[in-house]
Amino acid sequence: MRDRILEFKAVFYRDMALWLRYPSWIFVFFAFPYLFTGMFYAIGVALAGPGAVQNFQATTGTENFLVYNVAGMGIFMAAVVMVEDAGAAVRREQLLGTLEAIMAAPASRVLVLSASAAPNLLLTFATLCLAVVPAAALTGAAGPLETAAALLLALVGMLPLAGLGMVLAGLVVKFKEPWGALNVAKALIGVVSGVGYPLEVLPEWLRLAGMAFPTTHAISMLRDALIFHRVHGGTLLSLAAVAVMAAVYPAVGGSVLRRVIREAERSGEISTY
Amino acid sequence: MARSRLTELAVELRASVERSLAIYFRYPAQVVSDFLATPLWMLFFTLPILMFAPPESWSSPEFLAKLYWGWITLGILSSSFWSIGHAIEREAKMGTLEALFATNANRVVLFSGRVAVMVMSTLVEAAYVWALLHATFGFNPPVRDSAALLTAWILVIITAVGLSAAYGALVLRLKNPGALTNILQFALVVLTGAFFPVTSLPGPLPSLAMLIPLTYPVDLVRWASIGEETLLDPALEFALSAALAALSVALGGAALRAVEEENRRSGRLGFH
Repeated sequence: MRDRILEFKAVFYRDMALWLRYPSWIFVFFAFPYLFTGMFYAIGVALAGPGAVQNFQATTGTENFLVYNVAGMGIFMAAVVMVEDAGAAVRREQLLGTLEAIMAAPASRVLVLSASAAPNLLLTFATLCLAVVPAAALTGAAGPLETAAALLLALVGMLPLAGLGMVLAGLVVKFKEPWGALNVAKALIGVVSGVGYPLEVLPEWLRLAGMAFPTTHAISMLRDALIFHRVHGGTLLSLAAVAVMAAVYPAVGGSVLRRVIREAERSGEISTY
Repeated sequence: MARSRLTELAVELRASVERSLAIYFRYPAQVVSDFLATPLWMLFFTLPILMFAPPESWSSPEFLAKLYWGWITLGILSSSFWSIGHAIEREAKMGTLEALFATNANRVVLFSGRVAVMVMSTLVEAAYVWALLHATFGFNPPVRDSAALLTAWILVIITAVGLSAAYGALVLRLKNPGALTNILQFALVVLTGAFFPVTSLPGPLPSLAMLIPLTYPVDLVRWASIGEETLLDPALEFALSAALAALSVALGGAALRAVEEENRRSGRLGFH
């Protein structure tokens, strides 16, 4: 157990060092939700005229387009980083030729290849807080306690993303370049999660597909708590759904990764890139 | 027999495009996924904008036309910036940047092949999205003057390549361009009026937009497609856009060479 903790710590330190080497990315994660919100608003107003905010309220139920979009984009950014970086980390080791060295180390392969989820979660949650807190405070949407509770719900909603990241890491070990599939997955997550709109505008089948993604629930819980100040049956259902996903997705992801690594080691594919 | 500089540039461009095409088609799954992801990304970007419009206007031809042409402009601008910024970063990571810079090829042309491929892919996707919109809403993108539209697109692409080369110089200096690319491309989409006339921008932003060379050819795209009023007389705006396109390429190339020289002197050329 002590060894596993040391391995986890090593990966955590390494990944934090990598993130901090390029701090401009951290700025982007914070700024991106605002950039997108500004772009949606500017184009929306230019196209729809002075009644734009009223139109927004009629469709979404709030005129607070800033918190509405920052919350959605913040969670989406977190999802993209957590899923994509898990695969990118493995790909980096493959290209640098250090993956075999990791495999040769007396450490848990699955742990070393999946522990990136922890620093990624920490970093994306921190930037989500940095983005959401000023938006909520500036617009007077929620007080400090409500904001803290909302962010805690969002954090629970982000946990299952670690499992999706593990699946992608497994795909990289197996297929090396799964970026095409990832691009479709990212776009799908973006559309079905209701990043900048209520899910009611989507067709029924897309709404149902969205239920399988933790981002849909995380965004919905964050908005319910921050903007609509309500905890209703839907919120509790979302919380239950992400709690189940948080247990199931990492377990399934870990199992996929373990199996792929074992097969790749047996076939010698582990050293190809 | 010595070849003219123009012939040399054409040969370099051809080599650059061929190399980029070979890399692009090496991953057919990527090509297929682009086709699958495009309508999804369109929905992702379009639906939040539609929230600001009355629901009854969502499928109006005027609204769809503005969004459609704006989407293509966004695609071309982001293709240019991602292509050049990432091409430089990738070559540096692969250790081939020094080898490329040891040749006497034109630095802008060296990375333009990738832009050409990405622009081609954006235009193919545009045709495919038009087919989807036509099948769903019976939508046909309006074209006021097809020759003017084609000319305006060519000017947009040349200007974007020039600005991307200047941006590439920044990449050579900063090394990790991802963050900057993201911010720059979306700021440019708003400031150059890809979706709407820049005169609709609030406060001092219209004046700022007028200082960006891309604003004028993008304005001409909207004029030649959906017939919106131009900022200047169309003939004058075409002449100004052509001059700015040439200036952008010249300045972009000069910036790239200057940073390359500086990196050579300091020994940081291959750093990433």
